[in-house]
Amino acid sequence: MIFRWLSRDRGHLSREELSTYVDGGPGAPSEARVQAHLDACGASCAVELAGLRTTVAILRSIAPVEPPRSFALTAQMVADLPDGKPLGSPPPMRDAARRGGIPVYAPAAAAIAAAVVFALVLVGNLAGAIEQSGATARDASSATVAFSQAVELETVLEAPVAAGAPVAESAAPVAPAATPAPEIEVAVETERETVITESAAVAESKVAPEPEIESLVTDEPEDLEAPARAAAVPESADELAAAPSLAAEAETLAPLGTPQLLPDSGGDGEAVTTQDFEIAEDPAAAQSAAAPEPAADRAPQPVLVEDDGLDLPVWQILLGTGLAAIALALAALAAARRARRI
Amino acid sequence: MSTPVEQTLIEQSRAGDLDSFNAIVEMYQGQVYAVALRMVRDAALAEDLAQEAFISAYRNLNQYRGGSFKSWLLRIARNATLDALRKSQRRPAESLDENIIAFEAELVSPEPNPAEAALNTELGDHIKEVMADLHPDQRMALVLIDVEGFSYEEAARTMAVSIGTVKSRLSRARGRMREALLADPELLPSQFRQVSEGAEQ
Repeated sequence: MIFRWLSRDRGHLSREELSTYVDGGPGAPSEARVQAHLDACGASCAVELAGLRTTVAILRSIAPVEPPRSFALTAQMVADLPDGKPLGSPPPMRDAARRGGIPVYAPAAAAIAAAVVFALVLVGNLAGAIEQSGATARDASSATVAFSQAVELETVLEAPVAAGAPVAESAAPVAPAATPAPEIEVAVETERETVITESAAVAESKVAPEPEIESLVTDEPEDLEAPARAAAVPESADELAAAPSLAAEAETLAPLGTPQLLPDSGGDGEAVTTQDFEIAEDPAAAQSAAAPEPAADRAPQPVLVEDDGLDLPVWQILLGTGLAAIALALAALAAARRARRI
Repeated sequence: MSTPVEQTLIEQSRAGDLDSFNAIVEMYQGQVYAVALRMVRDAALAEDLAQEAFISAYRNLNQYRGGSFKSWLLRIARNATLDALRKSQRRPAESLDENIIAFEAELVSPEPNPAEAALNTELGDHIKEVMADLHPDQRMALVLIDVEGFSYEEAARTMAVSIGTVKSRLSRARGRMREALLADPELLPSQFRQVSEGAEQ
């Protein structure tokens, strides 16, 4: 109430209010309000109002313009209309030729196209990341299961391996044959024949385990698959890295005097790669490595693959959002301009 | 709203009667040309723009949905003039000032005499310069309401904005024009000089 009284009686009338008052336009302040304000305000508003009235009076006294000619349409003009379009046809698309060949919708269309392309790329990357994440999780779980199975089998095979059974001698080169790192490639090459010929023996020996092993396998049928997988020759380094049970079993079954691959089980939780293998050149070391270690010392590393999750760059999200916003703004602008015309 | 005569002419024009449409042209060509001239300040260009506006109106007559036909027609002319102004801003080498002519801004004086006529011409040039410095939207509001005598509603429909926007643009344009006119009181007609003297005091 007080504010309204102050604003109406004490506050200055704005220039817009005075301008509207001069015309008597819609929403103009009333005569009484203006007069009351002029009485209270003094000369400044009165001069302002008088100046506005003078300006409007001068502008309204400008002589009207007479057109230099008639703008009536002739039959020839109608016949020359572009495309010969009939009366009342839709308006041209802002006549690209008159606007320098660029339609008014071109920027909006270009921005929308860019946003669509980006969205497709983003969806592709996202799907790839999800798929890769799922595959990594699957590999990690299968590797963990295989690793535990291999450890169980290793415990069972502890006695024969310690006795230097031919199974251990023949299985060790399997891993280097599958992952020929540069440093060991020559050594592997010299023994390639041995590997090939003895691999069959490994598979055969594992398919037909010793009686005490067989009894265990019979109790748990799924254990039969682990040595079979371990005996299979991996085709790539990735496959080896994804299945650390092979490396673990290769370590277990490594013979004396042969290059041995030892996984760098530093416990850092990173994925096992070919760079993680080292050559144990010392026969004694190799022998000691071939000797089975206590099960407690060789506790399986349950997590060998780190789950990075979805690594989606932030700049892609920001760029996509910005492009989409620009596209929408341009499209809205074009639509508004279009709606305001005709 | 369009008048009954206008509505009849529009219907006949839609049926293909060119003479009916030309009757509409005769009714509004003065205002269309005046608005174009006072916006672009180029007589030849204003002629082209006025002709283009009538041709465009003829081609799009079926899109007229009622209301003030004058506002609809002047909106087409306004769009054409704003496009021309934007083109001239993009290509300053082809400035409108090269072939500009002074539009007739002489004041209508009840007692014309040579001295007053010369003064009016000088004042007209001054007004023209001030109007040229205004933003096109403010200039359009000033031309439509103060020069051409449009109502606020007609100006709002022609400019495709709200009445509040028209009031705001008009107020700013009048404020700048007022300051410019009172800055040179010797150019003002005698009946207005007293106001400028009061403002100086």
